[in-house]
Amino acid sequence: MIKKYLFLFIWAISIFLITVIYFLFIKNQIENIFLSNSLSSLSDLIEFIYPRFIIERERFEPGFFIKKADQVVLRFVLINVTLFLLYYLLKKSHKFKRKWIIFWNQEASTFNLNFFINAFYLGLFAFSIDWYWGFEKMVQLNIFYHPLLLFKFLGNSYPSLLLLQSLCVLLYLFCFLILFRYKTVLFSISACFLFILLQSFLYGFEKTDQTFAIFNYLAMLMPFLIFFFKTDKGEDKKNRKSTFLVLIKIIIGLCYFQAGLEKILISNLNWFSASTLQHHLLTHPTQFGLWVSQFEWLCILLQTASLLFEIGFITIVFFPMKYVFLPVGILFHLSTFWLMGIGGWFNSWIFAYMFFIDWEKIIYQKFKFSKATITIK
Amino acid sequence: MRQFKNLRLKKMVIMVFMTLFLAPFILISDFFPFSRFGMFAEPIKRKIQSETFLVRYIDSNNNPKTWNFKSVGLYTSPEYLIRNYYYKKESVLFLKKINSISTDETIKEWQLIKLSSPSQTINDSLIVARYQP
Repeated sequence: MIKKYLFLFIWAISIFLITVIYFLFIKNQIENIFLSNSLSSLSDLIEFIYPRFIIERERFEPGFFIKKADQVVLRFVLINVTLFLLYYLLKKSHKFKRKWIIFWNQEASTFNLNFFINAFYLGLFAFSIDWYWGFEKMVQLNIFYHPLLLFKFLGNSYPSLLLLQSLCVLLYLFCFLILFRYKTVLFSISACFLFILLQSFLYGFEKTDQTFAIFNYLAMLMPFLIFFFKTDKGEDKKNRKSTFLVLIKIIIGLCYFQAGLEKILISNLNWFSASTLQHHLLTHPTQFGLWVSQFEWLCILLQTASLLFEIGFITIVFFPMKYVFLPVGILFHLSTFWLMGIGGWFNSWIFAYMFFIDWEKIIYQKFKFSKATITIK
Repeated sequence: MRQFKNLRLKKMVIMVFMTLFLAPFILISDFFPFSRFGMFAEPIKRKIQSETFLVRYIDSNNNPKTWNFKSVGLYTSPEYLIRNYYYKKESVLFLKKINSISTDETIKEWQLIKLSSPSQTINDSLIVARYQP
């Protein structure tokens, strides 16, 4: 009995101790670093994790950074408490454990899995096709290039146009080789690597963009979906266990959940002030956005609706809510385009919603196609 | 045996992936390709949060014009790039670099303008750096 709960006990004590150590010793250090410009190992670590710190400390007072440090500890505790409760439930409740196993071993039809693989790599090709020409202009900016944290090992110089365009062509080639089911695992890993690498050159100018954030996660998970698609057989030949399809849906849901949670954790109730959206509408001006910014009540309504959507989207993974959240999600992304010019009609986030749709059902039942005519390998 | 290996591999991949996925949320920083979804989360309470920059040039007819970063392929916001040079006190170097990538040789002067809010009217008193090629 003691052994069974020893791990949980040590875990709980560790979380508590880390929190106490932060508030007793580390919190004061952060203010010292800010005020004294000291080059301690802690300040080196801060500058490694937060490359913008050196600039931001010129703009904000120490209290701003101390609040951020408090947030890091709060979030660490929040995640650990969630994991702790999950682990405890799995150990304690057989009913919960059974449901947990069933949840992760949901089956998907081979048709749908094939559809997701084909559609995703066609999407990857379509979303990145303009990079080939985009780099022609972008190489001019090489004097401003500053490699992103995890890509510093590649050096500080911007690659030549020939190399960048060759990498683009390789990416497109890999996408098509996957469509033709040629060494799918190998080329899906290679496509993921190139997709992320090329973005590191697009975003090496002090600002990363979240346009393809969801596609990065999907590109990282697709090789595993493909690998287990080949090896995991379902109860019958038409289906496969699809743990990674479940994970993909969870990740899409968690991206929205994180965005909503960030607003609550960082701003608390301040985020609901009309001035928040009004500021963003003015800094990302569109004709429609400027018109909306005149009405405080409309700004508050839109902010509240978007927060509810972001927090609530994750329920789509556990409950039959797709007919609510997918249309609202499309409206959400289109409205950020209409109001602030962010994103566009052809949006990778909306594209990712395809993983929530039963395409087999739609194609066979709605369009009355014969199965024989559209069977995918 | 193979199923057991697969299960272990799945568990390991999911745990590693979730750790990396949650790291930007916990540490409040992007670790590209892992992102923090903090866009628009910060409340606008300080005046400095509304500051914005723009690059202007004086053409051959002495007309001031705003430089468009999209013309050189920068499709992400240039704010962070400009802010980086401004707060490192390298604004003139920044304008020199802009001049070196510009193809227009008739430009008489480059100017960096700092606005305290996007709606502020542009005038010469807001120029924080100049460079004459």
